[in-house]
Amino acid sequence: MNNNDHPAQRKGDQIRNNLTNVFKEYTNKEVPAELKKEVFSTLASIELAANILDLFTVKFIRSEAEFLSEIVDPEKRNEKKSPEM
Amino acid sequence: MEAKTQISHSDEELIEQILNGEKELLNTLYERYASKVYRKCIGMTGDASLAKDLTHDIFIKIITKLDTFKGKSKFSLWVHSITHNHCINFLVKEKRVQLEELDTYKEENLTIIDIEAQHEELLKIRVTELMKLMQLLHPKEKEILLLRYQDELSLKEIAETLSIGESAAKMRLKRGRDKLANLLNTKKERHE
Repeated sequence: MNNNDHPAQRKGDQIRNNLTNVFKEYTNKEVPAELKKEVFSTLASIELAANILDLFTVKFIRSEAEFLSEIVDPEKRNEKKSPEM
Repeated sequence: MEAKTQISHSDEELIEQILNGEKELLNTLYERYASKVYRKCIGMTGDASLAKDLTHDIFIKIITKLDTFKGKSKFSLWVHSITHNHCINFLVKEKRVQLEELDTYKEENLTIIDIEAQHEELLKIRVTELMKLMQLLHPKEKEILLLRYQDELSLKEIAETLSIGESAAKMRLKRGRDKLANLLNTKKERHE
């Protein structure tokens, strides 16, 4: 006996098909066109904020550390000034 | 021509390329999932304006967390999961719904075929009725019905999306269907 011939299966399929159609119709709305622009604008703001944070934390600390190490270790400064041959 | 090439990417290839720096492919990702996410938010809230705000926030979450996608499940299920969690959290916060009560639903020895053959009255439910009744359902009941009948996911996929067992998913589906059918019957009795 094919599964589809089973009465419970057949009834279940009919109910599921009806519910699927009704649910799809219920939610069948177009995405607002302006939403894409808003999403990408927010992403650009997040990226900018991350870059600024990076500038004032990681990059600032790195350059500060380099500066301090040159003061503490003058040889390093000289090495930097005269590139390797 | 370029658009055609982009559409042929699988989700996983698309993600890999975006993570490798091809940020213009975020457009393809948005086009592929925007209506799915938006329609799910409409289903969960029944409010187009709210659905738009939720879709915005969900996309920001998806894109900023893209590097945490490990590829253990399908990308579409990962998106479903983020969408559902975001909507549920929003609804719980807004309406102060208690979620614990749902998990006490008694487990019965029924197959998915048995469950879906119940409630013949659901054969005649109309869109206008569904729109009203969905507002009366618990967010988790809405969620399971949407996953099954809007997204047409299998029990296994539903379980994976909700991070619950297949048996729990089955009982939650039964509960959602029972509640929907009861509300439909009550509404019809009132009108008779």
